[in-house]
Amino acid sequence: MITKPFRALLASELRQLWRSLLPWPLIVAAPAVFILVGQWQAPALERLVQMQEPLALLGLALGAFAAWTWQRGRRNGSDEVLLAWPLPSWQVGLARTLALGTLTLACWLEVTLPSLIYTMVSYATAAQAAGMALPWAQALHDSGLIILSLAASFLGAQALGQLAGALPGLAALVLLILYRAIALFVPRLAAGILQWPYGLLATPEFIWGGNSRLAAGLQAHLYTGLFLAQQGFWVLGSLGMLTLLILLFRSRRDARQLRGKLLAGAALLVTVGAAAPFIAVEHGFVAAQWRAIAEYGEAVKPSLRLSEAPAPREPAPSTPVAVPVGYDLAVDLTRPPLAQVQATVGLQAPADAPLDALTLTLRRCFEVDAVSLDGAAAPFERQNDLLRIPLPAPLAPGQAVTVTIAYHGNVADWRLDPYETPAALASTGLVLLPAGWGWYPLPGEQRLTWEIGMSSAVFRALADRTQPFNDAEPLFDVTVRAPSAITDLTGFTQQSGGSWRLAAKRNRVNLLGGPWWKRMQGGIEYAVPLEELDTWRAGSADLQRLLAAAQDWTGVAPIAVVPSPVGLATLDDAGLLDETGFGLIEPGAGRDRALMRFEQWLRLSLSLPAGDFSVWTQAGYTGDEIAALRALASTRIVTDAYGSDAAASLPPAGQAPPDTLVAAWAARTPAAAQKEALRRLVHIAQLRPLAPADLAFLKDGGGQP
Amino acid sequence: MDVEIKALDMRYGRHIALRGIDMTLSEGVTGLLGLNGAGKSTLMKILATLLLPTRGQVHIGSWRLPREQAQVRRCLGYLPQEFGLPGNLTGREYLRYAAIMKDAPEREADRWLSEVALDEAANRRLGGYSGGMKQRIGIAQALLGDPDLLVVDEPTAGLDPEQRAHLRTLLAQRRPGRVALISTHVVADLEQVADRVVVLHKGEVRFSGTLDELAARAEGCVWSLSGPANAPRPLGAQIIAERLQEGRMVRRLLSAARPDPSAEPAAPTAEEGYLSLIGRGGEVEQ
Repeated sequence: MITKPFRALLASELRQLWRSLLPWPLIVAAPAVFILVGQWQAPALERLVQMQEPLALLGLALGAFAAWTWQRGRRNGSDEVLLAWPLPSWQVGLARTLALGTLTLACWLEVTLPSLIYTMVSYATAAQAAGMALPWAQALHDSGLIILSLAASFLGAQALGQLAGALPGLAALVLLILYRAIALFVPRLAAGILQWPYGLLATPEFIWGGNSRLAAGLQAHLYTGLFLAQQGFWVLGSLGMLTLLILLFRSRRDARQLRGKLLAGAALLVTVGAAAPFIAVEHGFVAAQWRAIAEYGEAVKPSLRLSEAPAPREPAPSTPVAVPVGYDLAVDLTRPPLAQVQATVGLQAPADAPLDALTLTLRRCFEVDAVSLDGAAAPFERQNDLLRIPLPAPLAPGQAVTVTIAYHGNVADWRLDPYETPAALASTGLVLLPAGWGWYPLPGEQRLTWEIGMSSAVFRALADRTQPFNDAEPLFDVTVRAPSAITDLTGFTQQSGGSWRLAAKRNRVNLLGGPWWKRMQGGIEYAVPLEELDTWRAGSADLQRLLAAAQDWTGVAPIAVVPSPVGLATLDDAGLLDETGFGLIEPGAGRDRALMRFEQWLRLSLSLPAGDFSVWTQAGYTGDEIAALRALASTRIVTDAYGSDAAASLPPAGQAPPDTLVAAWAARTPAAAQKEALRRLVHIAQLRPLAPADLAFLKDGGGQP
Repeated sequence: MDVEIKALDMRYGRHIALRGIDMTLSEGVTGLLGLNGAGKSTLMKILATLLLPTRGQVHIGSWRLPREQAQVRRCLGYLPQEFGLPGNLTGREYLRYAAIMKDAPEREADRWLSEVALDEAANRRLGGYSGGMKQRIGIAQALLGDPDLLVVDEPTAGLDPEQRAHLRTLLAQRRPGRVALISTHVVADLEQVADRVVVLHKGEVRFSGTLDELAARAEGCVWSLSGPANAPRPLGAQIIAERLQEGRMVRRLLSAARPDPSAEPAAPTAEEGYLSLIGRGGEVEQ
């Protein structure tokens, strides 16, 4: 195909394009729009959201330019000479498309290169500041992966939209042919619709499929609303462009007349007008994402109950549930996504009922290899997420048994509907196994996912975050063999052999590990992924002040700031914000943007080992003394971190209803005593559910908790 | 190489542009005459592979349109009536580009720049060319590669008399065996170069033959009338020319009957033959 005539044709088309004045406004406008609107300097994956609108606008401008270019040769008559030369028409179309593609490519490079350079520099300098010898080549490589993935995802989405637009476009093309009975320009029209051939180069899922962390982080644009908006935008855009082409492909005489110009102008306006609602939908969707992030949690977060423990899941009366005594888990994740687990679980029959079988919940993707009871092989039944082990002899109430289960499975196969977002995965660079996902046997019949009604259809299937053990805290002894790239497994300590170990009484155990850089600063432990490790973010004074104040008022140490594994939105989906004990930072008026940006660009989750007690106020909280105390704590923390003005501007939605008891206590108690009381309360909450007696200090002369 | 056109119809919706055209173009230059809207450009576009006829057959040498369009384009030189040029290319770039497309040596481009007297403007962009210069570069691209079939629509439009004469020379210099179809309104241009003439009227062939045969169609219908300067125009006759000569009005008239007793019969020209065919107001005289 690359014949000498084709090369000459391509060279001619390139000369005609680049020697004309018209591409240059686009060349100038692309980076200007991107820099001014797109916030290209936003860190890492946040650019995914930031890039959407400017790139859509850029696409529209390029589409209009392509349509204009296509009809120019026809209108001025140069195509009539060209098409009589011995060259297939499709080659003319291809050469013109390729030439236009260089403009697309130039704009694409213009909007990606600044991001690439910025990321590379900040990444490398931050790593160096942190004492890590990071070669520039490595920085370029890693930054390039991020930026190119982002840009490719947009071009890919637009290419998909163009293809979708081609279907109705082809139908219109048939009508055009019938109307004009001219087949000559068919290839040109068809190629005109597909102005984005370069977008076909890649989609992140295709190219970066091997890099699950990046690929998963790029899933956001696949959310239904956004995706449909983009597709709708491009379908309508393509149809509009097609209409424009049809009008301009009419006889030259028509195009020169006022009527022809008006029709062409109207077609362009209709195209832009039709696209506007979709751009608005995109914009609305992005805003909704922010709102969902801000509001998420309250509807599903188990709220603190003063007088009663969190409601246990009621087992069916006929199937009493064993009580876990201890877990000994040996997890091998060295061949991701395969997980091989040997679980030895001590179980005790409940005090009031004998057990004739053990019912356990284990994620259905795991295939059980063998089961033994007190060392003797035992039969078992597997049905969906349930594992049922008949006991040779019933367990008397309170009697214990040790069950050993060997199982293996692919942990990358659990994804949230309908976007195939991984909510649990094991890869060479990331381990994410939430307890609620069922990666170790849970006593009884547990519901591993639940449906949640939220305005956004995104949040449908979530990890169950209720307490699986009725608040029991068995002793966990967990050993994990992880891929060497995992530099941190949150809550675990690395053993001399390279494996990771956790031995503690816990209600649940999450595995969350990655190639993170970890450091302690004061009482705050940071675990930050390298691509987010620039000084602007990790060294954020605001965040540190806030966390230090929180630590001061709650006595919780250390506070771990860990990156979410697959992006904040995905983390939200998976319900891991709560899994890790993270409560959202309450935004203060005037500071909300900055605070929310913390979350976004750090993608942090705060691991507060504070039991049920959260210092953060929650929007819409129904309120009681604890809520009032939480609000008080939040106010104090924000005051310490940002001053009284910021605390005063906490939005009403985030404030607990006034509580006279707490208000009276706060009014008469010095700040130091308040702080001490809150620290004690948090400490108690870490040990056991709070009881009404714990709040006796609120009464006059009540002393400290 | 011959071009054979059989029972050719071309319709644009309800409008019939060509109807039942039967024509053979053989070696040499064939002139195509007709009023505006007669179907000349449509016929030329069909021969140039740019339009598909509604019905009929077109054989160009051993090739048949539209099935063997690609082969036809390899032996075709085409200049449309109204054409555009890529304004951002220079004259030299454009002709070299055309040479590559037509598989001709690139030095041909330079030769043709000289032939059409555009050497000095060769490195200027086409967008800056005057109308006559654009016409010449268009002629050059059509003649480049010495095509077997040359289809040119109004080639002399915008050319000065010297350039028109030079164009006739260029056409006359074409090698034997080549076929050319030239559409024009100016019969005089054809008299110098055309071996045959075809007259189209309302999409139909009204005449096909030599220029002498075309002139013969007006035999007995051309008159010369000399009278006083204020002599009224004779009724019922088409005035072809009139001039004052030595105080007397000398008129050349086209009329089937003697328009005036003093009118003298005159020898008809090809143009008068053409006019006698299309008649006054474009109506063909039977």
